[in-house]
Amino acid sequence: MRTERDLRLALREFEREAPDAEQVLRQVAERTSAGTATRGRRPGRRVLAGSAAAAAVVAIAILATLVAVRPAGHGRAAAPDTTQSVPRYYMALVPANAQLYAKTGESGESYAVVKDRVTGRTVATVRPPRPYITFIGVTGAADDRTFVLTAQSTTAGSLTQRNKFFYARFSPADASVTLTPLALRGLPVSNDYLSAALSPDGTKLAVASEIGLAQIKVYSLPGGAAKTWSAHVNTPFAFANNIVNLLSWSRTGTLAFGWVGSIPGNTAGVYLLNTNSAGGSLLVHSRDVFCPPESLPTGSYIGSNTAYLTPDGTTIISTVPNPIPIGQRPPACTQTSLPRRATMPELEEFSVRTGQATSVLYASGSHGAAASDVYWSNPSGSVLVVESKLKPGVTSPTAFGILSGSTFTPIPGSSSPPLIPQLAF
Amino acid sequence: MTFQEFAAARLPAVLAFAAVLTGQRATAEDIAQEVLIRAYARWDTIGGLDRPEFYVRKMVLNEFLSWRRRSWRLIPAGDAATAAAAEITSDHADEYAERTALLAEIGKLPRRQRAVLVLRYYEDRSDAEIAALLGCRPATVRAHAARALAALRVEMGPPGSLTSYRESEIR
Repeated sequence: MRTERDLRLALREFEREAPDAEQVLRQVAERTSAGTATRGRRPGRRVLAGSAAAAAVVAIAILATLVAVRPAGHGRAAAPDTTQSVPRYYMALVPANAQLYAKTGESGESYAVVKDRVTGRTVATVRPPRPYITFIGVTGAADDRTFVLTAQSTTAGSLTQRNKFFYARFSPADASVTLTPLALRGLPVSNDYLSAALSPDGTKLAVASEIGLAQIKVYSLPGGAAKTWSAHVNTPFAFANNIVNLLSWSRTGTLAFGWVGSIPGNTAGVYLLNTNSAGGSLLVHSRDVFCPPESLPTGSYIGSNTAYLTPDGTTIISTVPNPIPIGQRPPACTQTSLPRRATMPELEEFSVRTGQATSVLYASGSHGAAASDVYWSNPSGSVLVVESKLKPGVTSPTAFGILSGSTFTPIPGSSSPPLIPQLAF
Repeated sequence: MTFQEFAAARLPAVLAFAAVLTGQRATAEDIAQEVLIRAYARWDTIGGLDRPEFYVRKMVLNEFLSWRRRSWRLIPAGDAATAAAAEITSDHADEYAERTALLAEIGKLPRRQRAVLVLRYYEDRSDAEIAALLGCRPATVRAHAARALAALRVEMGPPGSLTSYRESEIR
């Protein structure tokens, strides 16, 4: 039996058949100037002036709108075919004080926006409902309409802050967002909370927390039944330091997480948690895929440690200081840090089955830019949304964009207003 | 709102709506052309509305529902919906097969049923809103939806499982 969610996703597939706006306007202009606009219409419902001169005026006016539908700096509105698979709408967090954010990187209080990937426009704005004053995280299902926002009652750093999750349902018909508070029990408070990830079908929310006890809870939505996996750790940080890509789901219910490790013993690596298990020990119910190349030995971890599981569950995308040769596994985490080049990290794909490198996605040496976090992937990992520097150098501005093959295509409007690097597609 | 502003900001969404309604790029293009020509000619009136896009969407919906009555626009014989669905690819085998089958079945629905599904599950409109758009009673909308869902073997979720409210109401 199919579900309503299946139906929603199927209907969204038809969006790919959407005609290009510029092309349609050209066709309208051509038909208008050729006097064919009224073809097939019933008598008495002719809508255009009959004279050729009037038709020409209309055609010119419609052609003038082509300028309006073209993204700035591009000759044509049509995007590469590979970008068509990227969801149309995404939710992002925006710092309330953009100047402060630009100057210090401190986001302070934040609100959420829904943006149109194609036009770059902000189509909806969501403020945290009181008593919550800021959103600190956002995650999305695969339909680009269903999101979960994490709200806090005080600004980051406070020991008394409360966390609350909200379902955020975007409706493109009237550009509205419907917020629904999720009644989830046992949520981490204050800074114990690290990250959350909504499953592709929107029915499960994984929440990671730590400080003494590293824990992943998976809540069934909207009811809130939870399963918990946990591990006692003696290190200050147990999960990887990348909250954006800390957790990622496959469509089959596997949850990937980056793990720094624990003492005694060296358990650092990228793990796959079987969320169909009943709960219990985090590492017992997880499988270690490989040690991410940017990790250092246990207890001395630094770095972003991207570990993003593709939706088909076959591939881990990881940040690497130097690409691992195709067909080889990264060095074991017991080794000291890998020698770093002066360039920015790159993205590389690794097989979940073998842990071996399968392809280099983004080479800073050849493209002059660096990709770090992965915000979206098509099922196989061949098309990604990443953040990248636009030019070489640490001072270069960054942009969110679509990475396909060797091509990075910035997403219009993703840098203004400045977005906190937590995007949900 | 000028026509240029509408084209820049809202036209892609209208085209997506047309594509979801029709399931075929070519038909969506034809419908969009017809609607835009008429909308442009009446933009002095439409542009003055609170939400011009809604009016244009209604025009697209009406054009879609009346499409088959015009002989020169009849869709060629053959399983056009299936062909369109086959072009929509995913590299996830099981989901691909299931999704393709569902897309094909959606393409076989009567147009009014399909319109109801699109308005309810793609546009997230209430049955009352859909009834107003289609010029029928909400009970008729529910009947169309029930028949379509039964044909597609879609199980409805429990009503009221979430207590939702508009974001604007809780600011």
